[in-house]
Amino acid sequence: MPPDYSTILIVDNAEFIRMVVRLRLEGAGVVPNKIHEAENGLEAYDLLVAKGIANILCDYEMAKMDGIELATRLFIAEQRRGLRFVLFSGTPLARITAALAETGLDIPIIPKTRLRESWTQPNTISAWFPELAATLPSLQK
Amino acid sequence: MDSPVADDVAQKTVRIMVVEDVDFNLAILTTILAERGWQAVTATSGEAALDILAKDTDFHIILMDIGLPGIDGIEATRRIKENPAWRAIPVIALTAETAAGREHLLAAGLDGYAEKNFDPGQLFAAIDKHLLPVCVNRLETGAAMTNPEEHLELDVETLLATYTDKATLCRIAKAFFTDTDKQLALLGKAMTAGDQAVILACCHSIRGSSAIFTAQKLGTAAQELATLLREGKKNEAEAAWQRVLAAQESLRNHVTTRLDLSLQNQETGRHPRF
Repeated sequence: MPPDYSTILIVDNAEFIRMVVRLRLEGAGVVPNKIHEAENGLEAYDLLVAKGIANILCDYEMAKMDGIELATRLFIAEQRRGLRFVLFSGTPLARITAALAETGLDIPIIPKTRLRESWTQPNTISAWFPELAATLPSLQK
Repeated sequence: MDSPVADDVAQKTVRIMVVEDVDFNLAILTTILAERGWQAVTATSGEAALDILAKDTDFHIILMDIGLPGIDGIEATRRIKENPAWRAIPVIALTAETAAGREHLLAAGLDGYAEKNFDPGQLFAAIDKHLLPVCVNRLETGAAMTNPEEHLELDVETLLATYTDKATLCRIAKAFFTDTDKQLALLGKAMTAGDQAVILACCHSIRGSSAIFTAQKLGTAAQELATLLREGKKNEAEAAWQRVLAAQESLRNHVTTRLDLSLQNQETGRHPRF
């Protein structure tokens, strides 16, 4: 299934955080049924494959397949192209960045607290998911 | 999964690179950062900052002057964000720009900005946005706080500024308690069973949700429990667990009062005490 850039997957074991992110995305104009949720990396993988989701906003620390494991499977083991993957974490990021660099993955990591901030500024959502932003009238100049 | 970096921050070994070409300004900034016990590493040009990063990436924040000799702050930031090993470090512009100029800085890739007026309160506020709230003890500075005890429970002003309407905030609050009650029920079972992996996972989840919900006291209590277990201090863990439970109920009462909500504990069926 070709990647659908109007879709996004939120991956976090906490339902509360998924809800916060969903609200922010809906606030930016993403259609509710284009927003999908998963509790862990394994569940996320199955959804991505089944629905052709192109944008992934994923927690780093999860019990069943963490964020780096999921990204490694998608980008290195399976060589999937065209996906936008943003990792977030509740811990400061320098050492996680080092772990990520060891895998050779080139994906952005953001602090979890950024999820609380406004995403309506074009520089935020457009930087993370430019193709998704391009589908949102609220973010077009 | 352990979070050693979070522990570093909790113990205030925060490292901040300050990129500024004027020695006098550098001295002021490092003095301000030292007020919180934070370590400043200084660079007097964009090139020097990149040289430091090539050898040492262990920074929580970079404070970046824009008008630098050689490559300017925007170009230095662009190069930082190009490098996968560096790009996650938030770069905060030190600027006297107008609102339009600041938007330009954000569009150029900087993560935030701070007024270049060397006001400690404003500088700390800009930095705090990019550090874990649970790890930054704002009580110590009293910066931007009207009631420190209230802010430890919940930063209602930030929540209202974020979610703007009360209906959404109430929905968020209910989801928060549904989630954390579930995590606390799991945590209680894991405490009884002595299952350290589950305890740490639950603490991590509670801490993360607390950071988003601005519930500093609960996040800190969960962090303390995790730290004690990682340090093998099991005798002290029971008391820490009780502090987590107390922080949750205290928060529930606080939110109930402030937001006029009925927040029943979904796991125990108990209503908060009034």
